[in-house]
Amino acid sequence: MKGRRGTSGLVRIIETYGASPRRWPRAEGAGTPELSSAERTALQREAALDRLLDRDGAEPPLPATLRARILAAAPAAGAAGRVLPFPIFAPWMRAAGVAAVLAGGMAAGYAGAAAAFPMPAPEQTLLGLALTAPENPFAAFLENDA
Amino acid sequence: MGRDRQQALEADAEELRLAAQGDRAAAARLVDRNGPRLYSLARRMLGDDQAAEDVVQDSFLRLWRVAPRWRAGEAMVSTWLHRVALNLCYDRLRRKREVLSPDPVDREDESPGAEQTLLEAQLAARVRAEVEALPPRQRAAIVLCHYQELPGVEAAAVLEVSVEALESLLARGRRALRAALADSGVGGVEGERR
Repeated sequence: MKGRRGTSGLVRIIETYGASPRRWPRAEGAGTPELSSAERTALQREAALDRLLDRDGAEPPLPATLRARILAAAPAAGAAGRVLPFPIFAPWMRAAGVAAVLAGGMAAGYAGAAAAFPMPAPEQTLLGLALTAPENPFAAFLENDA
Repeated sequence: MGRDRQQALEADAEELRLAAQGDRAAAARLVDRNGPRLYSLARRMLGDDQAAEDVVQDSFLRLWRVAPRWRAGEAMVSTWLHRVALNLCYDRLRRKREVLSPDPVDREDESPGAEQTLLEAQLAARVRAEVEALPPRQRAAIVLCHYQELPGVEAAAVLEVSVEALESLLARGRRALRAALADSGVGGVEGERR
């Protein structure tokens, strides 16, 4: 049985998505019992490319420190619409920011954090310095633009 | 829109709504479900682990910011995140304006058969280099469809193109890779160019 689109259609699908039917568009039939010579050739050729691509298939997990930074910046209860960005853009700030979060849980909104943890004075913290600087680079994130 | 799709969109939006209200478990689920794939996408697009981390972090920061205003039914969170991450990758690539190094990436491998392992590692590094050498949009299409196995419709949504345009990018990318890796037993077509 030829593919529903005919020989050229199946060859086009194979050359576009590769030899594995799991990557084909859902409408394309898998397990076509009879293949033309051109289809067999295309399958073999694209399967070889797929195998090569899969040689670099290893995917490392999300680094734990990255996961922690992302979650530390997630909205806190009572702070809907106010997301205080974790200082990530400079490498030195990144490391200092992680230390600040671990030390005092400061990445959340001030109301919740103040109730849960005793907070140092703003001028004593990295985040506080950033937020109280004359030209606050994070000012846009503090506006309630909901 | 199919019922399954609609239900998936609503469940997605509900989880993001919970995260926006400070539900740490919901936020963690979103990160755990989407973070690894975003990281993989950014690593393959940029060839730089640290830059990939920054892209992933920035993508989630933007998600947290829009979370309170997220409207159910517009897009899956994963599609939105992929799109944001990809655009951030494009921005970085434009700023760098560098050709990614074709040098093999050193990888630790402690399995027996050192010589064979080295050959495997070198081949993997070469494959990665050839993928990284593709034009960005072809590279993105290959990463999304081959490595992340996104359905074509979803990959097209991430790239903000039609399915036909996605398929054109995929076909051209695969053709370029076949040509570049022809001496590795792929059987590239003579005379093909990117």
